Amino acid sequence: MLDKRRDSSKKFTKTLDYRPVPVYDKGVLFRSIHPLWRDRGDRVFLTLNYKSRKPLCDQLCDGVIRLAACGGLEPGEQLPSVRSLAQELGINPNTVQKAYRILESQGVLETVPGKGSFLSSENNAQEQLRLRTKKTLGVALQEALDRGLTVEEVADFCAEYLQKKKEEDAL
Amino acid sequence: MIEILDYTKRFDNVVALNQISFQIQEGCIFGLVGSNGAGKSTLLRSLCGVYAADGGEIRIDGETPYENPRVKDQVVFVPDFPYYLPQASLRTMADLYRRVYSGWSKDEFQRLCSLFGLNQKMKLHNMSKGMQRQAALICALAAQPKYLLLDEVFDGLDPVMRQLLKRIVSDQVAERNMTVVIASHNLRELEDFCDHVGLIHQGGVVFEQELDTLKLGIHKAQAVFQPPLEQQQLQWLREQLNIVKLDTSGSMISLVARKDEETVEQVLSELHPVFSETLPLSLEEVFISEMEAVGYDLDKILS
Repeated sequence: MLDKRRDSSKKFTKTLDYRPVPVYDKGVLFRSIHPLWRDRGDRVFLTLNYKSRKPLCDQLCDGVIRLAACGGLEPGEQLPSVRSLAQELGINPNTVQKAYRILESQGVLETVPGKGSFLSSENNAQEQLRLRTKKTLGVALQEALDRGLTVEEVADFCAEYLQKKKEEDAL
Repeated sequence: MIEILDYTKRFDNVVALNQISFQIQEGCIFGLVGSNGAGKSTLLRSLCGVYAADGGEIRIDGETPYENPRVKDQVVFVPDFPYYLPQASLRTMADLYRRVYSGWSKDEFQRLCSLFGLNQKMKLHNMSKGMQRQAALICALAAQPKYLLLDEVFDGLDPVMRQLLKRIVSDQVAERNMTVVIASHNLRELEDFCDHVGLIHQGGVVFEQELDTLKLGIHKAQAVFQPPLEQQQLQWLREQLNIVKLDTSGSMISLVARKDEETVEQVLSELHPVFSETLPLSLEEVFISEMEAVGYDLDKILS
């Protein structure tokens, strides 16, 4: 299933900015997917990593943002209710509630009282993902420096890597 | 809301709970952890009205549970060793629960029986311990109480049943704002599931806090200093960070501090370490650190 998706992403490289979210066997079904895959009935899943130290609330936020950014969730689309998401994943509803609140404060979700939570029509998820990605990069760079690489070594490595990527993409 | 106000419980000369006070809000999933014999079961039994107070009081929705059917109607306690009427089947117990709890739902009972896959007519004493535990949970959940007290029940279930139980509990908490108090030793599981946690030791509360706040406010750090830190620098470190534990080994120090990550990093950096790393703690690590601080640790036990 994963290979099928990789092939289709090569086919539509120009239209997709991000790799599709891999399919795992545990998680929650978000029914709508990228329009190019819609009729194939592919499913995109939200996953939780219990082994990682990362709080579940943060994992949920990240998951929704990644899904939104890769097209698994569309602007204006409704998310599962707090109750059904908590029940399907077997986690504390207060955790889901918190995640939804955080996403709302970041402008990624919009809550309509009495109806539910929807992915906001402006693509704030993309922006959030960019912010988080930059933060992760920062942590990795700091670790490299802490472990003894010099600033020049890190800069050279980055330049080489990006250059190689450029050449690969041009092919 | 559950209010525990200066509550004391004695058994002959033993003080099982000593003037403990805290609150549990509605809709909260509260994890009760503690060393063996700390008083967790005593507290749960006090909450459901099995024990009367020897000092202080317990209030559930403003009333004492002891000898109070109105409160008890909304509180169901599931003990670690389930007790059943002799010769009872699941159906017999369901009949009893139906008469006792006004929230009893026959539909929910049937649904849970088929979810867990239990035979309603089979005598409970013929079932395995695990299945007896499941039966106890089915009855408790079908009674749809406002307050569900679970005494080390996850520990006796297999992983599939554990996940099923969590889903059902999550659903009821979300739907009916049910409050759950779970006593358990499995901190890894509680960490994922609870939003509040309370640690009890020898009848007293060591801490009681929202889990997120707890984890944001305690960190472990390792740092290397060349040359190694002197006594007065270590003392300064102890004062700046609310230190739970500090170990030195040559040029390396490792510590646990009750401060947020930024403060720990900032204070350490003022001493110009060669290397430093600050990490959050898992609930297990918090438990062990806090227990060491009150003198319950391996060194004491093994010596």
